Amino acid sequence: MKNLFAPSLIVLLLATIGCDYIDQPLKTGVLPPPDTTQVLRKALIEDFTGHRCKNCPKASKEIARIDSLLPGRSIAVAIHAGSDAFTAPDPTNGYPTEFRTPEGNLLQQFFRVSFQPAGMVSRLDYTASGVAQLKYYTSWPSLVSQINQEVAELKIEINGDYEPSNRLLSATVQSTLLSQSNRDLYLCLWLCESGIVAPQLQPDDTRDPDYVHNNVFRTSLNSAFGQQIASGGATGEQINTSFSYFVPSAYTAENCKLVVFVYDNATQEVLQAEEVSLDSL
Amino acid sequence: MMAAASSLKLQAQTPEPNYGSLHGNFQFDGYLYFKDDELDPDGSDYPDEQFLGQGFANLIYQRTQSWGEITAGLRYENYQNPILGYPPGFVGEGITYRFLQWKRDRLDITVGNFYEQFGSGLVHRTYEERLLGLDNAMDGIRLKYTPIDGLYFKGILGRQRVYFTKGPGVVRGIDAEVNLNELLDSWAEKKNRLNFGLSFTSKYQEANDPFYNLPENVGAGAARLGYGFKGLSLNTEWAMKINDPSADNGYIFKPGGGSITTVNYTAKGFGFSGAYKFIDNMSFRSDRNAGQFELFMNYLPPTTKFHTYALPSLYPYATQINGESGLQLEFSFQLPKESWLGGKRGGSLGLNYSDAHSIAKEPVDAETSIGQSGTDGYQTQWFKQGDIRYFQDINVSYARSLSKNFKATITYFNIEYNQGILGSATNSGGLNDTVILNDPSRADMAYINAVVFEGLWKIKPKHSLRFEVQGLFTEQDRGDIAMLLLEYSIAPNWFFAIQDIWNYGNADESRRLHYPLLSAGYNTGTTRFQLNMGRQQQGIFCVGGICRVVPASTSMGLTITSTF
Repeated sequence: MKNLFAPSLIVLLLATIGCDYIDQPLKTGVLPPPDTTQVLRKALIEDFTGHRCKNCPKASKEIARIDSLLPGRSIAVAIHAGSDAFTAPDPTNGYPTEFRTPEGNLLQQFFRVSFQPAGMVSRLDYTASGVAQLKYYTSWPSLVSQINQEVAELKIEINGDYEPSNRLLSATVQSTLLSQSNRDLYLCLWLCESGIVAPQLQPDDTRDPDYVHNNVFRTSLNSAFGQQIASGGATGEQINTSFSYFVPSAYTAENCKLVVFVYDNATQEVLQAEEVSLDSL
Repeated sequence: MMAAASSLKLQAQTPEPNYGSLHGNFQFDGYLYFKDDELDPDGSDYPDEQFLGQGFANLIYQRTQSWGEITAGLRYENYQNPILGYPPGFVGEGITYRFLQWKRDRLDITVGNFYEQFGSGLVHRTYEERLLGLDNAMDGIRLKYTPIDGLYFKGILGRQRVYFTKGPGVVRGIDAEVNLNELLDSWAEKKNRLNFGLSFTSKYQEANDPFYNLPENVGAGAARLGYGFKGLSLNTEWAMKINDPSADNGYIFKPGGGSITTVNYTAKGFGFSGAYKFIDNMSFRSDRNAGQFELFMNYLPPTTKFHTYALPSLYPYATQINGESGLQLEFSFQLPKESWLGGKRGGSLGLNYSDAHSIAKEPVDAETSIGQSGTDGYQTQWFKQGDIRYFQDINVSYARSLSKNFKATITYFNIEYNQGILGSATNSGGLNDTVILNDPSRADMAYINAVVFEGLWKIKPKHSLRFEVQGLFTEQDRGDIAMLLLEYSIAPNWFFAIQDIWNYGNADESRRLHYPLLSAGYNTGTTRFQLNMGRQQQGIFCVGGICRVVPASTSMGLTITSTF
């Protein structure tokens, strides 16, 4: 019987530690307000999507749900890129819109996006092999919440102006290091548009002709992978990046937003992100 | 002479140095793809790389010592880039599997990577299915302990592989099995054979969700029983899992459950096997957000027959991990020589029936829809079948030697296939039960009849010709298809094959395509080379009830396998 003692003990131990029974699945009460004494990280959600991808509306709903619970704590971009079966226009079957962009295609190839809906949350877990950086949309709330609790390494402030008469966007992005950094920092400036009414395949295989596409990636103002702004720096160092851009008439400027983020070129991780709508500049 | 004899004796007395043994295997698959405007008009499946290749090598070192046995091994994998249809997450290269194992004092210890299974796998199975691109190997510690003969314990702890990294969840498990015939002297000689076992597996994954109170520790337990008497054997396993909200089940908090029972009986000239399975919300992964084939901790065995003939295999059944009720009955008869059916040389007859249905689901209350996230999802009762037929397969196979040199097999298949759930060439599938219950036409059932005639003609010593004539007939999906295969073998080195599949009945006239394929293979020692060139039509490739879509392509492929 001595031989049976140790295994029996292990069984009992495992059985007692192995289960969390949940009586109340939904979190109740109001979330504590974010700590305003520190600059916390905002999450960048890059949602690789397609108007002929039937599960992609689920990911869009998840983004809206996250924003309703954690307003302003995440910045979403819907990048229409990936398999032609999901993203290419198909006028014959009622999907005439071309949402794809050259920059979006480059991002899709670089991050090896091969299924949809797939997303990256601040490009966490990027590796040279595999696709650990691609996260299913069901994991996005947890990841956003996790990132939101972290103190940011830098602060981004956007100041500028949008002139509707000539559609000129002029702005300066001030990136301030909040701690000493030895990172290779890159800045991206993206233009996204919401409120685009166009057909979308739905999860039940039906076509919604009046689907509203939000956060659609339109273009990058400084290439798909942005521009280098610093290679390390001391606490408090400020890097100003100024630019101007004529917003194409094909885009409805009042529905457009400027998305700005800084990432570490070695890990691809997005350290901080901000957004501003053009009509609020 | 005396000196020579003495020398031989001395040599015989000198112990051989024990360096142990090293063995391994290697495989490479490479495909050069051709743009085929007829097959893939918009080029969406044509890879930018044009050539895709992947390979791996296993190395295993073993050494037996006076105190026990030691084994060490590793596997190198390289995907540059994964071939079409293979999970793209495998892109890259690296040593993905390494382990050290030793056995001593009735204890078997493994550190590093390992595969393990408890019972039939309902609560734990880690395994590799290379053809699918499934590898959920553990990386951790495994202990196996046999305190006395007939009593077996296993314990595992670690994390699972997902592509080139590991999943976020920690997997813990223990299994105990008793074999009465080995444990008790009084049972050693009995014709009754009895064994039973208990297993428990749990996972830990941090939860940080702003909406739900997610369980960080999720456990599942199972009990099993095996009984045998002469030609009869019965195995049954029952499992339960606590609340495990996940991407698979739409974040419902309902506990899961499942059972599988198999009965086998063999007698002279007759065999029977039956299986019944009921699965309710038994997806169990070490990452609640994982998808595709990633990080499965358990295995839900299929209760449908796996078809190897090309045309019937276009309509395979994939286990529905969120719930299904399945039944399979299989009879086989050896037909005696000189009988009406067996003819002069005898033959065999096989009958197989299998089906799979949804499970009955009722709302938990009037305000909650079925499957609603953040609730218990639905109510069900054990063994209560739902209204949706996922799959049914009836097939009959008759094989007989028509002469000393010629053997023929004819097989008939009748398949009912729910395209809305399972997917097909013309339906992306993946609908949930509720959509079909609200509108049964969305099941988009395909009704398929298929006949395969296979012949094997031994032309002369070492030379044989195998052929298959296949016909698949359906008014749904891609319509009628015919196939002819000729395969000439020169044992033991060469084989040559030519086949054509013609989708002559496709409702879309532009898709009434031929899919020709030429193959040749050469074996030398333990190495094999195979070349394929031609078209492959879109299909669904399944192993063990788990399936992946293979896109249509035109390619020239080379496969090399070697062992040492």
